[in-house]
Amino acid sequence: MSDFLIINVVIPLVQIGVLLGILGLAAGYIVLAERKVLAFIQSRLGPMRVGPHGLLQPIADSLKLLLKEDLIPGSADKLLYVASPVIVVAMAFTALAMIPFGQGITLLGYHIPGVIADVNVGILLILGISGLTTYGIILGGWSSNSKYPLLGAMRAAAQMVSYEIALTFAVLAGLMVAGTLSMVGIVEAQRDMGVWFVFIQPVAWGIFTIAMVAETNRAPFDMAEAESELVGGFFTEYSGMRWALFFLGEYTAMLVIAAVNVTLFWGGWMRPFPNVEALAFLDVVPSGIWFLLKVTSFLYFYMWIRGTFPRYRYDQLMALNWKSLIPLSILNLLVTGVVMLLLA
Amino acid sequence: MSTIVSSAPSSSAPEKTFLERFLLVELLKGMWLTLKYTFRPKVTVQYPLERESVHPNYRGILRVDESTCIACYLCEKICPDKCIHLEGERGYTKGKGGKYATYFYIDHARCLFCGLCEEVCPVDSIYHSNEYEAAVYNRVDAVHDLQILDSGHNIIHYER
Repeated sequence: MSDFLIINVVIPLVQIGVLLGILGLAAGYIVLAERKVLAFIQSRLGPMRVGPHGLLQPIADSLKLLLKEDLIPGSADKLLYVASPVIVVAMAFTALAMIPFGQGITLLGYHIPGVIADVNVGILLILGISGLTTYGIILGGWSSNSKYPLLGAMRAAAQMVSYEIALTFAVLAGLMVAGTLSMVGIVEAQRDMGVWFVFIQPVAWGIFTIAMVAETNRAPFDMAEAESELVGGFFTEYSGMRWALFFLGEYTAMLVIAAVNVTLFWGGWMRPFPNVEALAFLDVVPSGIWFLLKVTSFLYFYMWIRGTFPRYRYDQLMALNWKSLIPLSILNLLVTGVVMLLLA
Repeated sequence: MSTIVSSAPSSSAPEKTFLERFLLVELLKGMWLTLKYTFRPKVTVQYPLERESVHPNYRGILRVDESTCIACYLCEKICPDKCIHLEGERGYTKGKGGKYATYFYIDHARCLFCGLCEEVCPVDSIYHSNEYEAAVYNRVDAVHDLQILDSGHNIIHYER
């Protein structure tokens, strides 16, 4: 087998296989972690009965969902109804390909990079692909041919399109400092500058963090689901495995956007204070572990704020975005540009 | 529209400064609160594995002390649900004279746990125990006879 084939076909396929295999299980355990964190915040214990401390709960849940009857409402648009969960999951998984999980390792003489596809416009591609998730949501809501899904889908679409502006402007501020669009390049830029971008662009990070919660339709911006108002939001009519696919898509999207946050603002796979020689012993921990630690803290942050804040009203949600976040992000962009011009 | 949005009742809370609003101070306070609760002891009782003890005055399943009952029928008379049935006769049994109950049935499916029988009993023979796991698979099983009432042996503890 030629080296070309191994480097360009075999290694990516193995990476994809490993990633999808881990992710399928990980999404279930993120759900379990969320239930546990929410329970702990509310002085409860959460799932305890399936396995020790409920550790087998995700497996029981997914088995149950797999075995459920596959229902399609009679009045639904069958093709779109079936397609939309797939769109959501496929888009979330595709975005994962551009995430650099680590430095990469050398195995059997071949260098295995920590990223599946080191695209030179990686972050743009991620933003574009996660924007496409909106299609899955709005088609799912519309094809159900039911009022709550439709309302949920409308809200989701409006919200995601609006918050994408603030999100993109915040990303742009980080990119101006990095000087590259490649996800790997962004991490390397932070290594070369010796500082994580969160310390250079704290405002952009704040905007990104707020917008990323809204972008993934999570509480307190979960207007798309809004259990108390819209029954179940855009996937009210979904059940069984299709519903689970929506769930998988949502949690994968959380993972992706948290990974983007870590890569862009928190130094990706690097250990804390990469330029301080005294902390070199931290290099014992593999880069992938540092990355996972950072992403996990963001996932905890997601659950933490879900357990803390009540849902925004729809007009408050829009006002927050259009009146605060977008002007602030543009101002931040402007200040960044001026400062860079003066320093250059 | 803007009047509707801003029509929240004007609270006496002091107006936030710009910095407080910008740095989301109130939100951070809320997150600190939930963080504290995350590490507090949990209130959940894992029911079948651990049971909370009930108050001594708790009115649980009725029990009858067969050796003290004098078959005076007061409990049967006062029972609002007519769920107590007993029959007694005079004679010597179990080493004591006077009246004693020959049979005694309490239908717990009808009992409203009012405690009147316990109150009216002159010899404190009938009493509410602290047992609360009274679920049965068959209505007939809710009717306890004298042997069960005396020993309480048919209480099925829920295990899993």
